Amino acid sequence: MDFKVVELGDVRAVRIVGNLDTQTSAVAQERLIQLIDDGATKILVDFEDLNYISSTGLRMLLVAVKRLEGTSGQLRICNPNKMVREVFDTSGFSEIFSVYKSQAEALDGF
Amino acid sequence: MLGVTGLLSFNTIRAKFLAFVVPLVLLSTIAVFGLFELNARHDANLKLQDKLDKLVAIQSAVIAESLWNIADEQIKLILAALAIDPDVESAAVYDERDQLVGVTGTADEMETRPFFASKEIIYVDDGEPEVIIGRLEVSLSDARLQSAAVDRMFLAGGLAAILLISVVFSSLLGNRRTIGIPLERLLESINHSRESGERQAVDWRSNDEIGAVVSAFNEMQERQKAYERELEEARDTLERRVEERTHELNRAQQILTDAIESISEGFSLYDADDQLVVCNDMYRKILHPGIEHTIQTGVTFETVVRSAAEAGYFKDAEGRIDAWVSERVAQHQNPSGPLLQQQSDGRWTQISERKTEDDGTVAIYTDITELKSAQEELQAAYRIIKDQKDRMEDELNVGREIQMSMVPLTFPPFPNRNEFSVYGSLEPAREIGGDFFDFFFVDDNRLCFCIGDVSGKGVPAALFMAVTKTLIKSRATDDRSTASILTHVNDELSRDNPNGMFVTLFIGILNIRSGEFDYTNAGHNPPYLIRTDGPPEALSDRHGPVIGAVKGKVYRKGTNVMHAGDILYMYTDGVTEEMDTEGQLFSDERLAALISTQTIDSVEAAVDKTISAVESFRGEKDAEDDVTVLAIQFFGDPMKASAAGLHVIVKNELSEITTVQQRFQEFGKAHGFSKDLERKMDMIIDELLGNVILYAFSEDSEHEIEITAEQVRNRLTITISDDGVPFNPLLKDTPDTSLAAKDRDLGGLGILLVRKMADDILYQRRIDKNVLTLIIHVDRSDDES
Repeated sequence: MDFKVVELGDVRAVRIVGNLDTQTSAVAQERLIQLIDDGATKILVDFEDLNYISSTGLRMLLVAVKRLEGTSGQLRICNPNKMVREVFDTSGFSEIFSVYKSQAEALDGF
Repeated sequence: MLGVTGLLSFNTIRAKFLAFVVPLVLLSTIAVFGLFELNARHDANLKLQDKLDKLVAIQSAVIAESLWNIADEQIKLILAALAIDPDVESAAVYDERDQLVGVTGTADEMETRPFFASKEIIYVDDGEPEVIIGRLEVSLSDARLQSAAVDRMFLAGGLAAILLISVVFSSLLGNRRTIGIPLERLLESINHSRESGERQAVDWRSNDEIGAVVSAFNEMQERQKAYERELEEARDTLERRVEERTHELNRAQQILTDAIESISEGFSLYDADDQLVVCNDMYRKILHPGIEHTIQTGVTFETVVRSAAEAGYFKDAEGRIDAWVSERVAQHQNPSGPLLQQQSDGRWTQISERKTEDDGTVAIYTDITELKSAQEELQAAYRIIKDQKDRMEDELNVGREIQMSMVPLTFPPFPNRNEFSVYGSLEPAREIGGDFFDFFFVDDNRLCFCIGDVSGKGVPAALFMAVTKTLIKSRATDDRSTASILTHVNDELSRDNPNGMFVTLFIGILNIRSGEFDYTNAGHNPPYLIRTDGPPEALSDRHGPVIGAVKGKVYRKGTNVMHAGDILYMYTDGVTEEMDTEGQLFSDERLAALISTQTIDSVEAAVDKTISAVESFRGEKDAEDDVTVLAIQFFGDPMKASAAGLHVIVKNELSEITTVQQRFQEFGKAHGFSKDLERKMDMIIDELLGNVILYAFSEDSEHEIEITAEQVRNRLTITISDDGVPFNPLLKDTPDTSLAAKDRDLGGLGILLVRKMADDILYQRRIDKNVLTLIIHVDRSDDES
């Protein structure tokens, strides 16, 4: 799993390549929490290269969002594939996270 | 007629009249007579004066001769002759030396007399100038004038008096005749009516104003009389009615009072100001013994209840009288329903209070002590009965339990066998109906299955069904022939069957390698063989009568072959004999149509479509009979059907998840998995294997985990087995996916996702192993988006 961060203005665009599952979520979580602690307030997680996400990955996202509570920070998600979208819907996470079809849409209104 | 007092009093018309007339008449009389008098006087004076002048003139001429001749005697005679005239008062002659020559009367101060004349005596001789030889002075007395005047005045006065009297008299008379009398009568009538109330007409008729007034007055009187009569009549009527009404009301009041006294309950009516209007004796004496004196009309409700509370009537009020009283008053003023009140002597009163139309409160007090205890007894009895009933129901439920436990309802029942799949459903009706089905392996390759419907309902039917099923199973262990099995089962059942119960039965034995099957139908609904390549076939051959009816019958059998994908579809008459709300039957035809037209490509489809068709057909009513469907789909020899299955054993380390995922990717390529399915598989492996590795083993020991996968047609079966502690991952609670982030609990999410991705997931504990089985129906159409 690769965790790439790109700065787009004051937005931190995080691109995760590979899977967010039992084996990879811990590392991703570390990196994401680090970003937040470093003061990132606008985080865009781009799932374009994400193969699949399991419940461990979902937990990771939840931890990140909880970390942002109390700050004015926002976390948005874009470009999920069909399966990832299904996972989000089934788990109800599509209610918790703002999920966008494209990066442009997500950046707009940040 | 002419009252003296009337004359004297000023408050009469005549007096006023006179007050006008008399002065006026007097004045005018005086004026007239006065003028006359003045005139007369004036005339008389003139006359006298005239006489004087003439006299003087003449006498001076007469005397002139005498005086010239100084004939004193003659002069005296002349003077004496003059004095004879009564008017002459005095006359004096004076000579030219102003010496008195002769006088009659007094010559002193004659000139002061009113009628005085003085003339010069002039002697005229013929041819000689006039010579004044003396003076004649004469004064006349006006005594005659005076007395004439006096006489005249007396006359005038008399006349005036007469005039006045006659005027007065005539006016009084006239007044009386025209005004006085009618007015008097009018007044009399008015006074009379004022004093005695009688209205009399005034007796007067004349053509003048008085007459008009009188007649108007009389008319008014008449009208008044008439009004008064009417009024009196009306009043009389009214009085009569009021009397009657009062009488009625009194009667009504009495009836009411009697009525409320006669009822056995206490009664009270308080008005809108919460003051007592009426109550009966019961209320007064029985409900408030010892404080009856407080209960008077007009007393406030609060006063009454407070006295009662203070007198210690109510347990509830002890120690909190004010609070209790205000509660009670509030309830009384806004009654919501019957109130139960316990007296301190233990008696119970039910108080029903209601608002009246004019915002008062009426209340009925019923002693319900006996009622209450009767009610309590009744409730106790009811509880006993209910316990009995529950116990009976529990016993009755036994029948249902027998039925449901006798029927295999866990699916998939043979997850490891891919040669076939089986699915069945029994929807029991209200009353136990006696339907059942069963399936079991009689050896490695032969599956025995049966479906039946016991006659009758209730526990006897359930028991009979249990016996039948057991007999079949035990017979089938070593009897391979369906005909033989049923022959023997029939003998057994018809032996000890005094109630004549029977069962319709269809039994079959399927060779799961070849697809061949034998079957025997004993009076049961003909099943359908749903072919993949052709229309459904009804297996309509019968091989004997219903089971349990007649001993000694020998049953026959039929035989057929299932090809890969074919479904054997069995059902009971609960399906075909289902009735809708109009009494129409579902019927065999409808079922046949359902099977022909619907796409039935799995056992689940076969069963579910039947159940939903029956349910929607049935509509709102309850089911009369059990609805039972059993379907078996033959897939063929696993060796022939699928490509290589997957089988891998890994260690209990998280890194092994990747290994297994890779193996699955290979498998997927070989079986043409869509990208979506591949990702699903990855996720499922991650979740399930992750769970096992993390939670199934208690110590850090090495364990092995076995994973298999097999695809037969569109059915993918995956198993994960481990020898860890008994651990059923399916028991984790389903998370509430509607909660917000901060409220979410992180457990159970993985299994939820897996359930969504797979069609079926089953956990079994097989002796010392946890076996998790997944079944995924691989769709033909996969889209990538």
